[in-house]
Amino acid sequence: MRAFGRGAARHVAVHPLDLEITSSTSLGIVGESGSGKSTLSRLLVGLDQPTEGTVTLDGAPVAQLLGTRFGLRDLRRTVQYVAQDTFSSFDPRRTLRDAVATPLRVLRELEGATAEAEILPVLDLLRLDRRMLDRYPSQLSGGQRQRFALARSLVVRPRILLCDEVVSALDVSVQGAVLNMIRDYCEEHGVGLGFVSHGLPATAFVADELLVMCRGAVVERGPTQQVLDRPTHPYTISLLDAYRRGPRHLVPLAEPA
Amino acid sequence: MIEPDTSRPAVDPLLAVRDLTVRYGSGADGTLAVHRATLTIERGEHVAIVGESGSGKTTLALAVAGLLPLEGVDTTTQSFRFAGTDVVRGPRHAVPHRTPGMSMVFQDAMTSLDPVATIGSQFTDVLRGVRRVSRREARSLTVDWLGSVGLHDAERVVKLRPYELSGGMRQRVMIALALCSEPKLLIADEPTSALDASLSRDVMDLLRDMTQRTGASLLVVSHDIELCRMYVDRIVVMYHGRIVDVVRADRVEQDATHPYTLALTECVPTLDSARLHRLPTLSDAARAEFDRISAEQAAGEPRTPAAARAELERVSA
Repeated sequence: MRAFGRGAARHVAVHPLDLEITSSTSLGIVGESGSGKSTLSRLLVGLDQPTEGTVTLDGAPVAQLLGTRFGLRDLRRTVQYVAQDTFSSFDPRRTLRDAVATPLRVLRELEGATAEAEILPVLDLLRLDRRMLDRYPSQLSGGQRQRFALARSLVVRPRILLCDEVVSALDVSVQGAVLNMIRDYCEEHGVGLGFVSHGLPATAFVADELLVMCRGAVVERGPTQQVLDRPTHPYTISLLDAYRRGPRHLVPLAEPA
Repeated sequence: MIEPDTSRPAVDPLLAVRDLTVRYGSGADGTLAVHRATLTIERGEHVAIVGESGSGKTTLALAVAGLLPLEGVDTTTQSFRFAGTDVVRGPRHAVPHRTPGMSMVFQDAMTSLDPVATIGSQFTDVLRGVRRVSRREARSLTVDWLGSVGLHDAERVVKLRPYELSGGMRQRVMIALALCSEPKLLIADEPTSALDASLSRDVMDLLRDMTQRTGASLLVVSHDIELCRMYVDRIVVMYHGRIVDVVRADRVEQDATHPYTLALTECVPTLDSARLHRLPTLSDAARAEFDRISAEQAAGEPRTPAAARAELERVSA
């Protein structure tokens, strides 16, 4: 559980829940803005601490791992997090080569030509031109920067990849390519996937299992196709309806009084 | 409310822009953001400009609204008529600054409303900028407007500041605020891209209902062709700075004359995508082909829907 504030202003962002992610998981977390899905993903990678309850990695509490240098390195090596806002997640004054090489040096102790040999195949996979490595984040389009954010995580070869709204800002024609790549990569390399998004179709495509959040609580979870075909919670039903229904009149078409 | 403009013949469209070109920067470093765009919007018509990032759709909308910066941007047009008057006279003339009679709704209601002013005072500013009204009248108009967008406790909302409202309420406030100046054209730039599916549809429902009620025309800028085609009359498709297609929203598949339009409709993930092994994508080769076709089209080569369909099949094979 994660709560913010105290007393009357106390707001529970994530209600108590149990969740397990293994290297064979592909879990989609959907919900509207404010439903707690981003807070949940930040808790999972140790960027935020639960008010109650624990997050563990291979049995070790994440809070403890964060306290030691090696623990932190193990955590980052195992779980990689790709944030929604790629503009603020890159240092604007450093080249992309620097950005992608840093996790390799810090987490895998690879430098120079060996590091380069790790980076180039990942760039090819993401269809990124290697000449872009010498550019700065501001010189790329949003779609290219998003793919570089993925590249920076994939070079670490994590066992779990956690993506927070990674395709929402991308154009539909680019979304397809990134989603195909994420799904193929995780299947081929046995990487566990946590995919957080407000876009249900994209999430349903990459994830085998869905978890639906509403106001901080998990209201529905199950195999993707089952949730799509036989939703049980009113919120899930209304969300699915929104994709299926056409326009409707919200306000009566009369002159205001 | 807007009175229907009866002084002009009905055949005169509300907006008619011919050969609008926008260039950022100058000389060799300049970027041609919009290349000779011609656009008309009828009175009461709902039009969407769709395209991907960098296609020039937002730039075109900002140029129409007269909101592009005056420095560092070179905007030219052959003619620019709005609401029965020539806003721009003569060829290669700079487009207007803040075209009167237009209002704009932005993507992010949180950053476009004034964070420190109450909702009531933001309405009063706009209302008093348009015509002479007393504070009391402004207050009562504000309550009416808030009620008309479905905010039922309007008396309370006028006293609140933006941070005290939910995201959905802020969007409604912003739409009411844009319409209370009684614009003839409402321009909405990506009004739904930060919202989930059910909120997106609520906002589109509201934009359509409210503009129908006031008689204003609506221009929506969006990357979601599937959402737009449910709500507008015509869709304008932009690709790499050019308008490549203008189709009736209910006949996109039948009437599209550029393969990119068809590709756009096929790329949007749907709930059925969960059953697919791969999502459709646009290859670099397909994009190069689309550019070649756009160039031909710009040179005046006639296009047919059948050709567009055949070209799309060829590049996706």
